[in-house]
Amino acid sequence: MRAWKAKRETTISDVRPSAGPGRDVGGVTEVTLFRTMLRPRWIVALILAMAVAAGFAYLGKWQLGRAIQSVEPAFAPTEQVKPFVGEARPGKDVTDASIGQRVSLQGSFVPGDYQLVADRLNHGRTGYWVVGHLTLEETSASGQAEAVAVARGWAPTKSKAQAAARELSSRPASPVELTGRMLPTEAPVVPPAGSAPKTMTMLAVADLVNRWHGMDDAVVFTAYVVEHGAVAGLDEIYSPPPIVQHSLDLLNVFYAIEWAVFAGFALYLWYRVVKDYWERENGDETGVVRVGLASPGRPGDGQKVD
Amino acid sequence: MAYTPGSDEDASLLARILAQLRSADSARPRRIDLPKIPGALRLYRVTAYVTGTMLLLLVAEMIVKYGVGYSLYFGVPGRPGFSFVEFNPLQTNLHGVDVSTAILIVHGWLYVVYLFADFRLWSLMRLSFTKFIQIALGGVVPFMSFIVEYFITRQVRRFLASVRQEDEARASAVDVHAAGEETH
Repeated sequence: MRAWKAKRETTISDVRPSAGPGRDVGGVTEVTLFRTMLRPRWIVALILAMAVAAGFAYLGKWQLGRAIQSVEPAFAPTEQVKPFVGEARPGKDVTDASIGQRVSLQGSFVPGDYQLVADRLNHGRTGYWVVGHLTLEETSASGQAEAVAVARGWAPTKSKAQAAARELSSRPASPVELTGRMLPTEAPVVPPAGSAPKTMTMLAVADLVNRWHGMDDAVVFTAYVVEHGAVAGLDEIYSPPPIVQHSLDLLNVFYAIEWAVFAGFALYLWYRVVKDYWERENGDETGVVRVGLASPGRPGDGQKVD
Repeated sequence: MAYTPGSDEDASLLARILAQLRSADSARPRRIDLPKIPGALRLYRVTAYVTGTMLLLLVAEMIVKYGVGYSLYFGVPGRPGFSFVEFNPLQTNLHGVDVSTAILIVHGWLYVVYLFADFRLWSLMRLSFTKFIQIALGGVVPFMSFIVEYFITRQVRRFLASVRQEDEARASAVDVHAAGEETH
């Protein structure tokens, strides 16, 4: 056994790419393992093994994707437009299931009731929201007017936001239909030190109600709507679907690891098969048991036993 | 076409593959590995039976789930023991243990163990690559793992028996030779 090991180590350590077509070992030309690997059939086999490994790696990636997958927007219930009234009720809190719901609503904007909300981010830039006061077409069960805050758009500077708000305010009230994303009201905060005392940095419905006109006999929704679609003079507010956070699925992670191992294994199998072929070709059969044939290098074993 | 393990290069590819499927005589184990082979064979046989059984369970479960439309659950509140629950791909937050999914997962991992046993037997015996694929695929087709297991076990045992026989024949030849020398 020791003899076999010694021989094996010698041959493997002697594998040199620059060794030429073969080496002369005791009068017998020996092809190196590397030379064998370079033969077309083993190159083709390697390409196949790599293709299989790539397939396995792709499956692993797919499993990883599944492990941290969020609900696809197409399947998310929030992406189907629903009527606003029904999802929200005046004076009632918004339910968790309705947060981020896309809604449609009909009504008319109250001229003059446009407010600016400062410190709003849109695609990473700080700017202003222009928020309108929408009176819904339908009235409440008790016949009262229903008011909804609608964030109509974003502007990068205060002057642009003011210009857009002035323009919108000057339009006469007329019925409109809009779609947008419904969000729960934010809590009012004291304006930052040094800014104008009436500056709003939060979309607080409770704050807006006190600035709006004609609220004496009206009810208000605690949800506000971010309008989808461009409004003249303003940028559309970026409001993506809510991210449904799923916990990491360990099962999929393990499957991904498994596929990675399989991919490595496909390449290792190729190596094993080439090496096997090479050892056989070079007559490196020391310590190898074979049956049913007269093996050269095994003296005294000329009989075929079957 | 007559085939002998030694004449690999002369036989056609198809003839070689067929011969490799039908016997393990092209195995070239190292003598040092011979004592490990029976253990590897035992591991392979156990995993073949386990995988085969799990695969049949899986097939039964698939028929029940997609054919009849039920999932098997254990310990659903209000229903002691196992119970069939209407299968709904969107409703996955049921209480109780989803036995159907558990079978799926366990089968997946046991097949990996089967593949490992396949690799161990294959590399100790230094069989052809065809043999590795043959055994691996045996665990994929229902009932096939039992059939493949039967033939593989028989082939490996025949190979080991041949090795033993040849060793004994050689040993007695040496004895006769030695005895002959002494008498001279």
